[in-house]
Amino acid sequence: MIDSKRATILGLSAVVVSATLATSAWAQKEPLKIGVPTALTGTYSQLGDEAKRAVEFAVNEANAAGGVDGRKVEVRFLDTEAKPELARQQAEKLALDGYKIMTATIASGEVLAIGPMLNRWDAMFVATINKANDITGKQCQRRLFRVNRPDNSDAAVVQPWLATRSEAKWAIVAADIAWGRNSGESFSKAAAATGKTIVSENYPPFGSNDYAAHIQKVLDSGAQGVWIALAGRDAITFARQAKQFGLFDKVTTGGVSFTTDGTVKVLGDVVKGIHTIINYSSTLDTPGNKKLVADWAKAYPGDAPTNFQGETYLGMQVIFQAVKKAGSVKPADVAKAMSGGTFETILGTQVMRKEDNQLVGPNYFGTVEAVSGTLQPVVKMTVPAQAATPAPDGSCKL
Amino acid sequence: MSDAVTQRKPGVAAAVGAGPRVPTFVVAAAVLAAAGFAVPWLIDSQLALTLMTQAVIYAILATAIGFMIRQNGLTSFGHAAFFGMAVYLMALNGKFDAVPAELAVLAAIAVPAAFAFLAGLIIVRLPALSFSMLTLAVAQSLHELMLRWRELANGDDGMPVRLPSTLFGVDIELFQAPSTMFVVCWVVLVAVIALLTLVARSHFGVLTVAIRENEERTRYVGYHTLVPRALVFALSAAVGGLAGVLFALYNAFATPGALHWSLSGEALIMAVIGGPHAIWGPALGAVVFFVVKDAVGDLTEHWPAIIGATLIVVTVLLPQGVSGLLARFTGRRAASKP
Amino acid sequence: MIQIINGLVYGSFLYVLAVGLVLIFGLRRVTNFAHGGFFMLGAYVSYAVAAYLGFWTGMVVSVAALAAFGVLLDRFVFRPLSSEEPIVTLLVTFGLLFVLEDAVRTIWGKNYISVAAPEALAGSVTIFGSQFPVYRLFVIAVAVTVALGLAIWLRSTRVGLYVRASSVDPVTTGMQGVDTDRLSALVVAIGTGLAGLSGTIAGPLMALSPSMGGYIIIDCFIVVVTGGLTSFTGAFVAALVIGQFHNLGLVYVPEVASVIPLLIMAVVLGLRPQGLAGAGK
Repeated sequence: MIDSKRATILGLSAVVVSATLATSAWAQKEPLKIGVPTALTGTYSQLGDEAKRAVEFAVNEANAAGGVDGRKVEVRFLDTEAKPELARQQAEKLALDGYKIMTATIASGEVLAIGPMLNRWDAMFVATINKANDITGKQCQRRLFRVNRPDNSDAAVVQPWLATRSEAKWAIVAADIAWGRNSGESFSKAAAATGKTIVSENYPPFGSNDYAAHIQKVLDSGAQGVWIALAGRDAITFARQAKQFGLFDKVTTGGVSFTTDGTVKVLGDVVKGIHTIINYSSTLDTPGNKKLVADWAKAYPGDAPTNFQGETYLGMQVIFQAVKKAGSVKPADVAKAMSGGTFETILGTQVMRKEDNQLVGPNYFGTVEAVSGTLQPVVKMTVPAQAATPAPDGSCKL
Repeated sequence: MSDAVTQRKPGVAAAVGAGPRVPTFVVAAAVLAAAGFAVPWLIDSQLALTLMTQAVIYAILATAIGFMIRQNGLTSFGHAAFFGMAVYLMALNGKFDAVPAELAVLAAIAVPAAFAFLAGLIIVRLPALSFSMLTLAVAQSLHELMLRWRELANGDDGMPVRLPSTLFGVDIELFQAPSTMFVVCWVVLVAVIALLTLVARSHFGVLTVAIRENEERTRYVGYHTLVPRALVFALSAAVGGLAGVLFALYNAFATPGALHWSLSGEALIMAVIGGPHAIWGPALGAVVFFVVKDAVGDLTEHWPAIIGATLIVVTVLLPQGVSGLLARFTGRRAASKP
Repeated sequence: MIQIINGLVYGSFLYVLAVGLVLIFGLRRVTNFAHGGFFMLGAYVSYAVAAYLGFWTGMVVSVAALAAFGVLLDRFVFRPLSSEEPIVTLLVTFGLLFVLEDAVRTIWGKNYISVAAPEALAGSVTIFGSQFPVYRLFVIAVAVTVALGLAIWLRSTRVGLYVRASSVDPVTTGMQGVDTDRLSALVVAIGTGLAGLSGTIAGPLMALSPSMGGYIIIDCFIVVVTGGLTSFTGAFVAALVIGQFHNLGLVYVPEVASVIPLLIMAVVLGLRPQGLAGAGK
């Protein structure tokens, strides 16, 4: 029998002891170090900036809540100028310096250059923006994961959308790089499958200054609709010039990465009414997403997460949950926990496929419209996860 | 490495003098090369070793550009063409398995050299800036080609360089682990500089400097002036290709960036900062530039402003490059200006 | 055909930028790699001013500001380095480019910026049955005005005479008593001012970003070299020819269109190493 006084002392001591143990446990647990080799300067710096903000937000949020699995999260950013050679160099630096879990690079080429090195560096990489199919296809790696929608996922949502359109003759304007060509190709396939005809195909070089020739060709071709696969600087230059030619008034316009949250902010009314694939939108109605958008607005007043930021934040969620599952920050353990794992994300429960390390999720189609006064791509059509993320085609041998 | 200016015979333009029978620079080269082997023992940090390895690879490219400036008085704005050519030849051979990798290495050095020689026969005759712009044009065209020809090389997504398990009888790991690859690249750099110094001091080297100083007069004296200049260009291209080979072995990945004018530009900056008057100047410039850029990049994303300002200051204060400064300190006169 | 006019537009735009480079090279014999940076700076300055005072004021301020910058550039960079190797100045301009990009990125941020054409030029006209933007006609008009203005200035004024003389032989002109330093400052100022003008024009055509200079500098150099480095007429012809064939290439042979300017330059240099209208040997 313990009297109340002793009980109090024992109780207090227990509290003190456990508190000491807990804090020293925090102090003893290895921090989670995230490395971000991304475009801080150069032509993709706007996107790099978006990615950086999303990572910082996720890290701050986690640390404010006591860390991930009781571990402090540290992050380090290095500039790759979106150049694959530099990306490899910077990723190696991060990995050798202890930041072995890396993410949020902009160009696919960078990730493909880093991928084969991950084993050598005992590191892992989670792609959150890169679309090349090869990342989870021909050039897949055990330590390489992807959470965002790849090219073949975008291809899978074009057909359902095109089937709803009445325009019969279509033109294509796509950047003459791997991603653009892939999109053009998949659009052609979707057109064939839905009984449309392609009357004009245009692949202007990446970084073109004058799109007049292509705009005129589209106008001359009699196309009723045009599919645009241009991004960033190209998208804005093209949109501005196309507006001057009145293209958007004459022809129904749809595209991928053409009217993202970022480019719409820059172009405004110029791109009103344009249809677009949407990989993530702050308007998506899930409890997780609503919370993210609300917290984001508190941290960055007047701002909402863009498509790249939503996907990057989702990637951070997956990383954090995998670390917790593994009970370790060692890349080998985290990768093991990540592959084939189930994750609670802002877009619901999603599975990271074991066969190719691709996260399976839905994809969307929408239109640029005003939402409470601001112009933004708004989701109109949802393609559920199984249909939106095509099954592995066997090119990945993990 | 003496660059003292001596007059050998009347009629021959000011030239670099020859050294003793067994040139001191050969001994120096051997010592330096041997010293390279000690580095991985002294430096533990894999990070430092990998950065140094990459710096040395760029140093080889910069040396190639500097050699052109020194011997021909011509500035190549497109040396990435030879570098990238080599990288892609290695990558494509890995894809198609056309010849054994050893042969691919040799081809990756020989093909850019042959290309440069043939093109050189036409373009070295042009005024200096026209020559530079044409080298840029050729490099950019190659860049466009590899960017567009996706079926061949995957365009901007790049392609991995598949390598066999042994190369020249050595385990391929040697070329991919920082501690061993550093030694390989360092020895290659030293050997290249020694070889180019040998060439520069030979009759051929003296001749090309004479052509550089006054092409007309040299021709009137009776020398052919076209082939020597084209040969210098070819040699410079071969060295650029060699850098590309090492890059391909170490990074095992090829992208059109290896052909882009920004790479040519950076390598040119390295060569000029180092000072092309000394054959080893550009290599020093490359290491300095690479290390400084890397260090500043670690500190801030405003590295372009700092690097740009540093570049301006260094170039203005040291127009002869860092090697010119060092040469002055050691009391030797820098060679006559190109 | 509309496509021919489109070719004229891009050529005109290139001309305004390229002729600035020609002016600078003609007098200072300097390859100015920072020219793309001045173009970019001009675009941002006019954008910033236009936000408060309108497009036209923005244009004037941009040209003036860039011209002032040019005077400083000549005084503190080109003049002191004129006795050094040309490669030294080339490297300094490289460094300047890095600094300019970072400065603009720090001041105006990393986001792309798009500028609308001013009210007066925002409409379109019908040409050959197609809708054609008035703004593009404006670009052609600017180039023609600049070309005519330069031609008149160079051929009819004394200063123009000095500039032409200095272009051909700076040393002798100096010996004749012409203050080549003052002249250089003027010419470089006009050169950078023109870069500012082309940057202003570029606003309603292409996206603004701190690295936008990199997208046109190569084409610009190609025009200058093809035209003959020191020739204004050469630059005019080269710009129009290259703009035209590049555009036609995009229409008919899109696969190889991007190497057409390079090819034209290579062919011209092969046949006439000094460029179309350059001072020959």
